[in-house]
Amino acid sequence: MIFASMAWGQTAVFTEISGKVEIKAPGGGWVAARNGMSIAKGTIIATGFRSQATIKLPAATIYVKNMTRLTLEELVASQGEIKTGLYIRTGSMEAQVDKTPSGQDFRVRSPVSTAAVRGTRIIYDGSRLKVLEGRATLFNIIGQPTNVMANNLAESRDGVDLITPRRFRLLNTRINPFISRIKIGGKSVPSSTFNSFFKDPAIVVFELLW
Amino acid sequence: MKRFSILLSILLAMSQQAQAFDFGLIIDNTTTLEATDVNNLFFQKDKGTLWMNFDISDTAFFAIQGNGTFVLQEPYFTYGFDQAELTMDFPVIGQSSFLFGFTAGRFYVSDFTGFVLTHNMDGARLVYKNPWLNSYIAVGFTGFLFKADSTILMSIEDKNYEPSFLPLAPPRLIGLMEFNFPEVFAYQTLDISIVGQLDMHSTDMVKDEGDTAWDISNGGKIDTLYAGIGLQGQLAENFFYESFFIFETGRTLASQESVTPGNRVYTYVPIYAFMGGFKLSLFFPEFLASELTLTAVGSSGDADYETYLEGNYDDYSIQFSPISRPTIGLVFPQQMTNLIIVELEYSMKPFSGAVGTIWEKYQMLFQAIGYFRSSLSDISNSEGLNSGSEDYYLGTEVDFINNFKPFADLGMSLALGVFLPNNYTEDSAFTPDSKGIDFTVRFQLSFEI
Repeated sequence: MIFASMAWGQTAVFTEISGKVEIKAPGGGWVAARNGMSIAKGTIIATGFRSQATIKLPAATIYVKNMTRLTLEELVASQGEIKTGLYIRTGSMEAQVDKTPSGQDFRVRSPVSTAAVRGTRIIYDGSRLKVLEGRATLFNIIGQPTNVMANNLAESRDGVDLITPRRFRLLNTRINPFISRIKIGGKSVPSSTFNSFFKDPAIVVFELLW
Repeated sequence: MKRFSILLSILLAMSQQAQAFDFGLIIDNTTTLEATDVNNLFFQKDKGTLWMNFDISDTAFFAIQGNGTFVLQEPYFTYGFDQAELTMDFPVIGQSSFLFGFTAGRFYVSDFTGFVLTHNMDGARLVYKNPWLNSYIAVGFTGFLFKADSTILMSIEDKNYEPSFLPLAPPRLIGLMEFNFPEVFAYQTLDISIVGQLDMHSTDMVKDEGDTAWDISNGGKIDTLYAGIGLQGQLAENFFYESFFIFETGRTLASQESVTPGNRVYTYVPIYAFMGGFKLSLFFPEFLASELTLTAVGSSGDADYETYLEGNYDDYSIQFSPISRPTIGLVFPQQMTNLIIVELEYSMKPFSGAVGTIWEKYQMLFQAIGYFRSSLSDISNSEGLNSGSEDYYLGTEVDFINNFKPFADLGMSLALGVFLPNNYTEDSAFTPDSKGIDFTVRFQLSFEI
C-alpha cells in the first residue's frame, strides 16, 4: 500500500502542454494545467480546440488529443505490476505502453467499450481502437472481447455490436452496391447475421428458384 | 390522392408517437443478358421495397418492410412482406453485463454459415448475450410467406406446391439454436448451431410409405436436423480464416427393393449427410485496398438419387439437403447440394487513394469458381449434364464484377461472367453438343427515394 501510494505520487505528470488544457481534481475546481504538474487519482483532464497534452506514467506515455475529456481513475503498483485505469468520455487519446518485467494492466474505458492494452501503442476514441504496435483487446459494453493485432482496427458500435478487425477489413475493401434498410432484430441483432460464410451480397448473386 | 393524404397523416401521427421513426422506398432494377449456344435471354426485373422502422422506446423496436416485383418479359407481378417484427431488449444497454432480447413476427434468420438456412419466417426469437456467449433460439413457420420470396426447396412436393388460394411458400416448421463464443480460446471464435425442420405438407399430397407405384413426379416428406460447428479467427496481421462442418440427419422417402423380387416399395430411410468448408482471406490494405480470398465448400451427394431432390434407392441417404437454396454463381447458378466448389477471388478499389471522392467507392472484383459434383448423380442445375459421364469436374466460371456506390442511397453493379463447361469429350460431364460456353452480363441498379 505504501509502495502503491509512493508510485502514485511520483508518476502521473504533465510533460508537455499545448493550447488550453485544464484539470479538475476531486472536490476542486477547474484549473489550468502546467508542465510538471502531477495528477491525482480521480482528476479530470480536459483539452480544448487545437490543444493537446502529454502525460508521463511509470511505464506509459499518454497523448491526450484535442477536445477530449479524460479521467485518471486508477494508478497503483502491486507486487511490481502497474495497474492503470483511465476513463475517456469524449475525444481521443494515443498511448504508448511500455513492456515491464512484471507486466502491467493498462485499461481505458468509455461509456460504450473498454480497451485493454499490453505492451503496445494504441489510438482510442472511446469506441474505436487502432493498434499501431503490439496487441490489445477491445471489449464491448457487456464485456465481449475482440483481439486487435498491430495495424488493425476494432470498434464497439452502439455498445453491443462489436466490429472485429476482420469486419473492419471487409468494410474497407468491399463495396456492397445494394441498398438495404432492413434492421434485423432491432438492436439485439445477431452481428453475424449478414456475415456468414459465402453470402456477401457484393459477390454472390441470389436468385429465386421459382 | 386522398388515400395518399390519409396514409401520410397516419405516418406523421405515428412519427410523433414513436421516439424515432424512419421510412423510405428502395427501387432495384436488374437487367440480365444470358447468351448460351441454345438461345439468348434478355431479362428485366424491377423491385420496389417500402420500409418503415420505429424506435418505440429505448428497449422496443418495430420494423416492417414489403416489396413488389415486376418482371417485364413474362410478364408477372409479385408482392410480399419481408419483415414485420417487434423486438424488445432487456435491460437497457449499458446497465448490465448481459442482454436479453425477444423478437416476434416475421423476421430474417440465418445459421452461422448461411448454407443451411438463410430465410424469413414467422415466429419468435430469443437472444441472450453475456461476456462469453451470444446465443439465439428461434422457432418459426414458412408457410405464410409468398413463394416468390422463398428459396425453400427440399423435396419434389416443395417444387410442385401450389395452393389454390394464394401462391404460398412450402410449409415447414423450423427451429434454430446458435451459440457463438467470441474468442473463447487463443483468440479463436467458436460457433455451434443446431437447426431442425419439420415437413408440414399435407400427407394427401405426398407419396405414402408402402406405395409401390414408382412416380418421380411426386415425392415424400423430408424432415431434417443439422448440427454445425465452426471456428474462425485471425492468423496474422492481414490474414484471416473461417471454417465449418455440418452434419445432417433426418429422414427422406426412398424406393427400396420389396420382399417380392423385382418390385420396389416406398420407405422412409435415414439421412447421414455432411457439408464442410473453409475460407482464407489475405488483405493488402496498402495496395489499392485489395483482398485475395480462397474458398472451398463441399456438400455430400448420393449416387442413388434419381433427381437432386429425391429418388433415393438405398437403405440410407447421404445427399446433403439444405433448407433454403440461394444459388452460387452468376452464369452457372447451383445450389449447395451434391456439389463442391473452389473459389479464388481478388478484389481491389483502384481509386482507394482518392479519399473523400465518389471514386473511392468503386470496386473491381475477379473471381474464378471451379465446380465439382460430390457423386455422379444430378446437380441442381443439370441442363445438358451427360448422364453417362463419370467425371466429377463440371466446369469453371470466371466473373468480372464492378461495384460502384457513389452515394449512400445509390449503388450499381455490372457483372460479366463466362462458364467454361467440362465438355471436352463425349465422356465428359457435358458433351460438346449438350453444352457450350455460356455468357451472362448483368447490370443492377439500386437507389432509395
